[in-house]
Amino acid sequence: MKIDALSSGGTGRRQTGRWPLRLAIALGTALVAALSAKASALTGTKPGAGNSVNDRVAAIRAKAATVTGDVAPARDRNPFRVALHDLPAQQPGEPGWKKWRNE
Amino acid sequence: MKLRIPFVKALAPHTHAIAQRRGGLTPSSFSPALKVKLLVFQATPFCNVDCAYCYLPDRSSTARMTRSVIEATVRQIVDSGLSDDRLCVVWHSGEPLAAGIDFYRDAFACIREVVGDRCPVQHSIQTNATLIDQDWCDLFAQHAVRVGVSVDGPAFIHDRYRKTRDGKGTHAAAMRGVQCLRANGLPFHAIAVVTATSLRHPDDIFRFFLEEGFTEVGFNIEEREGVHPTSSIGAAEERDVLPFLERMLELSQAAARRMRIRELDESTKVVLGGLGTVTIDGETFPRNAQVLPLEILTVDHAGNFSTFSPELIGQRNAAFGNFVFGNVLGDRLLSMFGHPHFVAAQEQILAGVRRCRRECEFFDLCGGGAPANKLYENGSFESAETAYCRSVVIAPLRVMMSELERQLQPPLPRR
Repeated sequence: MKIDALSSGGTGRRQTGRWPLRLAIALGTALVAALSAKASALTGTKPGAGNSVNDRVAAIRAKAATVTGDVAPARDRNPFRVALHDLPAQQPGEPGWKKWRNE
Repeated sequence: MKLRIPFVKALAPHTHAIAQRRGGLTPSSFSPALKVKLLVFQATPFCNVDCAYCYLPDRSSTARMTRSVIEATVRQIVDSGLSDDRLCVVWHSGEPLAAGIDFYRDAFACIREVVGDRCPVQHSIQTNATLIDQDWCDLFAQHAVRVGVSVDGPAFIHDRYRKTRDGKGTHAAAMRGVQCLRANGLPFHAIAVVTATSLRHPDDIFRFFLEEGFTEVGFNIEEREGVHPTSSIGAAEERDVLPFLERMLELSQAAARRMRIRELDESTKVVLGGLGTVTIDGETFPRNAQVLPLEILTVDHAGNFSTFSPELIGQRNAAFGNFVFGNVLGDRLLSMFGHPHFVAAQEQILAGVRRCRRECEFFDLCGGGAPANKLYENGSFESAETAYCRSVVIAPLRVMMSELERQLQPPLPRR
């Protein structure tokens, strides 16, 4: 794209402001969107509508509830259910502190 | 002479009045009722190792906690109704074994004497393992002490940062201690600090822990904290944390889960079961021990007590009085609710939690982060996201959410 020709509107004379300004606005908008998306991908923060993390968690819990049921893991060949039941038993109210681990 | 402290219920109105005048919260502001769920005792600030990334100050001080501090602390907890269904004590913050084996024989006996039959007592020790020998193993076995060892992985990783004061590596000495634990059939787990070097060697680290008989490892990403203001993990290295954890998941599954990864197990539990909730003055939050007063009670060797993040106590900070909210030898634990430094810290920590709620999609799975990391990384409790959040909370949650979705077929729609 020849900026000079376009910016001059074909007249050969420079018309300042229109195309460069529009291009700058478009590039700036795209840059902001890209940075925002990258930040969201890295941090999980997503200002604006919806909470995709909570949606995913709700879906996982709903599906897990149908999968695990009351079947004893020893008699269940489904590896997912075995893996779930294999987790250390949830101790009620145990505080989490990263520099120590309570089993 | 036994130290007798009147039931704190009689003091509750006084404490409540002080807090109300200052505009702060009181114990009655919380539902369910506040309990001490974890008691962190600093037997001594001294450490025989000089790890490059350690956040603790005063590691050359050989001061030791006295029996009167231990007795006063535990008596206050049990007599004031702050004890939970069991008393969990973790000896930490300095090298706990440096206090000597007789110290613990006396400390354990003192605590048992004070608690009596009111609740079980569970002792845990987080140690660099360099001092463990048969006598220690006998003590651990006698009292069913849960032992956590601080080992970063194979020697070429461990010895890079975990050296003695004269610059020698400590891996060999730590592993002698680990082998002593194994020879005695004692269960133990590892906490490994993850540095930039670690991130490049997930397979070596996993294989080391598996071959040395560890059944669980917790990975602590090297933090900017306390007297350690920098980290080998900067913005560039931080991008390697999620792949590191993904690789750990693969290796753990390939090994038929003979070795668990703490972060992945905890994330799985939180995704599937949530955190539970707590109500503060009618406002409901996900449960996060580090933002709730007294849930974690930290007492240093001199009897100074603090709460919230255990990393705070003793750190130099004029605005918050070095995070000392009283001393067990002269103050009631609940008096902290009227202490100006506590009130200020609580207010700012809650403000930070509310900010997390506004800004972070992972809030319901976290509950507002770690105050210590917010302060040291962002300069304020009233902040939100930290590198700790990204690497220690969000990254393992992402790994396990994806893994759980993969296992739950068919694939779930994602937005």
